Amino acid sequence: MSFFEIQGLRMHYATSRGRVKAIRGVDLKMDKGQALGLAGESGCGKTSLGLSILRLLPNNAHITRGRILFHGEDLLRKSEEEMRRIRWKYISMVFQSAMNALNPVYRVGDQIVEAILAHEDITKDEAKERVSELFSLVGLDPGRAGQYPHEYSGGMRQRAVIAMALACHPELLIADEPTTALDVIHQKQIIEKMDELREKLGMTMIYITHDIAIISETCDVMAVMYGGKIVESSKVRDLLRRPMHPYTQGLIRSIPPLHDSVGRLTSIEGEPPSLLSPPRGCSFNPRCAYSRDICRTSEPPLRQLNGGLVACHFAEEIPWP
Amino acid sequence: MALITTENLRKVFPVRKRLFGGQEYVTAVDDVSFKIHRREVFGLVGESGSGKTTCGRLLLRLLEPTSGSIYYDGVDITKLTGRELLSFRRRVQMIFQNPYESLNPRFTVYDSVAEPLIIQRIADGEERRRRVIEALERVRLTPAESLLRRYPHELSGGQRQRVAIARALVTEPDFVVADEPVSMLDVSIRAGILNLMLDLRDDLDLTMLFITHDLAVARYMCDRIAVMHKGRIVELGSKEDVIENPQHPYTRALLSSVPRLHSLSKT
Repeated sequence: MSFFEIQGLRMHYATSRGRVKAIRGVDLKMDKGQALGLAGESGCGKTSLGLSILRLLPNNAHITRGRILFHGEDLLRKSEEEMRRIRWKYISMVFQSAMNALNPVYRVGDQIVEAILAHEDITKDEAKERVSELFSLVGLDPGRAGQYPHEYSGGMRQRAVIAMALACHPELLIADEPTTALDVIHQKQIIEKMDELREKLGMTMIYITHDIAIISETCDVMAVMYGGKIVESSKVRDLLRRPMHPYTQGLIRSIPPLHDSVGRLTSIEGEPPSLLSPPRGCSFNPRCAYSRDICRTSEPPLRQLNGGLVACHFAEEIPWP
Repeated sequence: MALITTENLRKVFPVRKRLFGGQEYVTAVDDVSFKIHRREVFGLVGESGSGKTTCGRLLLRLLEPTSGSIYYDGVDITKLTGRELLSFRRRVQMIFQNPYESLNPRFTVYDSVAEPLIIQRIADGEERRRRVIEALERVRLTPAESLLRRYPHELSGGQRQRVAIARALVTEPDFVVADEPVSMLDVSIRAGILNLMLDLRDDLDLTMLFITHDLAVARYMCDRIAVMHKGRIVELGSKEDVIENPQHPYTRALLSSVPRLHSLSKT
């Protein structure tokens, strides 16, 4: 039994313009202690996937198929009450916008105390003690726990949100673009902190980001999402050394390197697909330089190749670099 | 010869008044001097709050400096008024970070791109239409005719930023300030916009101030790079020197914080 597994998950949002098919069949398996980087562009379904796991989706979202197994138990079959007990305590999430995740009219420390008391049978003093520990852990001065969110800088707020997510020592942490709003120097500090905490607490982590470089620095395994599906996944080092899917290859080619001069970057032509009416066949086919007839009619399954998984009919034939 | 020279440029903003006691100030740009050569892409790099956007706005006189001078083509633009100021404005333009905000949602593509021509009374009638189409073709939005009646919400992010660029270039400026023009865009379409901007620089002989927090993007786009920190330029040099041989501790800290694609970087 895997520690965490997603099987055949499908989810759409019902909108006035039709169904937005945000997750179109996702399979995923994780071992305890692993860090998975989930890469993809805006609108590819990666945030929806995170929210599905915690069952925090908005009302117009419908999961139509699949299972999300945590210690072998299907989270999709849990009652709302059971989910409330699981959230924060066993699975928690760091959201992109720290400003929205903190309540502006409560002191930061009190908000975390409250979250702890809601899940654990300990005294208020013990909870306060833990908040001090958490603050030190994420590199915040425990003396500032009595301050309000607006008295914090952006970097401090993001640390506070991470402290809150870690408050009940969760087994699985989902971090959705946790550093995107931050400057690089703060970003590096927070990434290193999360890495350190993961080792210390033996946490399993799903790191959702558009930034492949961050994944390459923090994760063991990487999955690339496109058009509501995982199109490639494998060990980070293998995937970056030899990306197999044309989309992954295009992404890597379009990132300017810091320390090498490049002649001219190659961009991926066209635009990401609309999930309202995804293209027939492979969802990348309208932008793919290698696409042939079969790509426009038949959807390639995610299959094993070179020790990883790839969803492309012609992965064997596509050269790299 | 330099197209732009700034000397001891300073901009101070009043922040809040305390209940008892005086006005507080923040110095956004502090004693900044640099030159931008003709046809150069000059990079201004720094973190949020470092003063780089304020600096860009000062160069276009979208903000008035507290002190210091800005010479554009030999003329101190901080002293310009009336007709002279108008003719300066015709020669410069700005490209903003967020095409979702910089385009009026009630304007069609045609309206957005034609507006600068109308405001600056540059062209009307058939000539105006011809120049709008030409600007759209220049940013590779083709066939341009089919896009003229579209609204921003009907366009993708990349198309929107292309429209914003067409709008900035329709008056045929000599100098453009691009403020984080790709940071809101998806990774896969960023490279296309960057390449487009480099092509336009070559085709139109543009001079450009390129503001970014992303050092790798700065290296790709710029000829020289200035690193800003707390309102000051702490380092300025060719992109190779600044990135491969940084002198200032802040530049080093910045460079060492950039996440790297491990398999690709040489070790």
